[in-house]
Amino acid sequence: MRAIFKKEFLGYFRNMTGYIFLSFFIFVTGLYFSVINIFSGLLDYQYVLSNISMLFLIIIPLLTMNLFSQEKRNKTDQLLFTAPISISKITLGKYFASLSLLLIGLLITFIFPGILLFFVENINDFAFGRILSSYLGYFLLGGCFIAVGLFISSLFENPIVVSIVTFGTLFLFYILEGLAEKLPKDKFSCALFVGFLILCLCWILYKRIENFLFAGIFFLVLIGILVSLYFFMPDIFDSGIYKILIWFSLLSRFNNFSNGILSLADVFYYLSFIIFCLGININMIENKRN
Amino acid sequence: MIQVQELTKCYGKTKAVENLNFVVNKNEIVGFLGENGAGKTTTLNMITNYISQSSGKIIINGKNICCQKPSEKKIIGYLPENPPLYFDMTVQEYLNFVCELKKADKKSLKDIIEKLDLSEIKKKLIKNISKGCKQRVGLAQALIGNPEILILDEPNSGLDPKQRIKMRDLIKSLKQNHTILISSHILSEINEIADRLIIINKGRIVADNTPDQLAENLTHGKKIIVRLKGNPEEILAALYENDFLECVDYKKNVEDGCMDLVFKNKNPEQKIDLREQIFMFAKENNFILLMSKPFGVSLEEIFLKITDENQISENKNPENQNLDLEEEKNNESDL
Repeated sequence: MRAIFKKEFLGYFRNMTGYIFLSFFIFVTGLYFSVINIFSGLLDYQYVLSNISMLFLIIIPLLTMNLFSQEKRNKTDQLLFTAPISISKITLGKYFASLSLLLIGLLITFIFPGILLFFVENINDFAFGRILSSYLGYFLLGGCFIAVGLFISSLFENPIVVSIVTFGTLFLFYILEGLAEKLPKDKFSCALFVGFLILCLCWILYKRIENFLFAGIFFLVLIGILVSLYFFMPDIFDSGIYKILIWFSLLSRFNNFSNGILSLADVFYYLSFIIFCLGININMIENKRN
Repeated sequence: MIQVQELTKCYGKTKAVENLNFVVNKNEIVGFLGENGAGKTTTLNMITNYISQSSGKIIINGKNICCQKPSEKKIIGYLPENPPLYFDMTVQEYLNFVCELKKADKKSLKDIIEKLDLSEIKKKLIKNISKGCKQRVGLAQALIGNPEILILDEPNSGLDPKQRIKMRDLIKSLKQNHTILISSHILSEINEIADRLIIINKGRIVADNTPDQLAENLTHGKKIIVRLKGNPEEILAALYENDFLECVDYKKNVEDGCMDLVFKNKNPEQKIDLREQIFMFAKENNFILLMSKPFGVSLEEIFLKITDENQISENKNPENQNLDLEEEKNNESDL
């Protein structure tokens, strides 16, 4: 894994991506810092991090577009996949290389809250906790988005296509909350939505195990549970789609971090999301080789 | 040792490779030949575990590669058709990376760099080196970690004649410590290197033998081509009376007053030395023997004959070894 990590990390600085990313990230953060903290005279640095979360839409495709796609395009994946190293280590090496670059960018921006410290008359007024919690949230959110970008990178050979699809997917995450509010909130629609999710799940199961009978029985059992719940506990379906989408929303959890609420559930959710994305990434590569 | 048993690879309903069975013994160099799309690269990719097979087994040193741990892949060094190079790295950086990837000893890198003449270009970016150099860097990465088995897909492609000779000698020298499966389109090269040839056509093995044996099978026994000085009619007339030699082909006037003839043993059950009989035939009939050499079939012809039954080469080699009997017989109907 070390070899892959080193290759990818140094690779960012061989082809200018690292320099472009860092300079752009620091420039935009500095810009927001100047506007929010310097010109407006606010001490709350966490607003800067909340505002620059939109930056992920640009920097994540930049960081992840080449990770697997270029290997496939240049046929260098033949070297990696025939080398004495597992696919999970290759994936993790690449993931941590991107994450490290993001971390370096974030560490550099620590200079901005440092500057604010000079203007603070009473050190107790300075919300260290909220800033650190925002940084942690920002880092974890970035980690989730990098995992998504890495997965998309393993699907296509063309980096441009990867960056466009990554941008589109991340954009969907950003508008998820707004979208959830517009969707129907009645019980029947929710039950239909859950039924659709069950159908998707069973289809994936069928594709994996290629046993129609087992997948069919599993589908019927889940649909049976759904119908029973719909008739005996209908209240749980009230505004169900909204609740499901909000629960899965990455952005809504980031707001908790920005507000200084450090919840273990949120940290756990982000970590689970990363592991899930990396897991399906590894699985996808394995499947493609079969 | 590589054992391939009933190997099949399907892409949807298309069978890229079907029921392949072959063995590559320890310290053997086996040439893997086939037309484009015959299934060579697919087979090599399966042996190296880059892609998995639809059915069948690949056993390497007694172990099925399906049950192979990633660390056990060290045993194979693979040079794919397009060397897997990172163009933004220097040659040295790339080889260091492969060393780390394969967890190989970096001390051996120096020897590999020297062996493959990479010292002068090791500080250059890979994107700036020639195709031949890229091929050598690709081979260097395959040699890193001193793998017991080498799978080389077109190692000579892009090399100039001088480099080709070097590469050929290098591959030959590797035979002492490695088992090598090599695919190439440069048939003369593979003929020089390989102990055995496997010819694959449309996903199936159509021949598996030594080059000499394949040639003999195609020519149905040994033949000798000779050039005799004398009257062609007299030579052919004398041949009718000879009990041992059968002329299977001839060509008149290849030089002034000379003709070329291809002889084989008239009675294959009777073991005779053809060369001796040819000499005696010339001596008894006062013909001057100008040339005598084994009549071989080139690897190109073997390849073409086996892979395409309808495609038979008209001119087998520049020395006119292959003489068109039909044409000659039409012209020389008086004989």
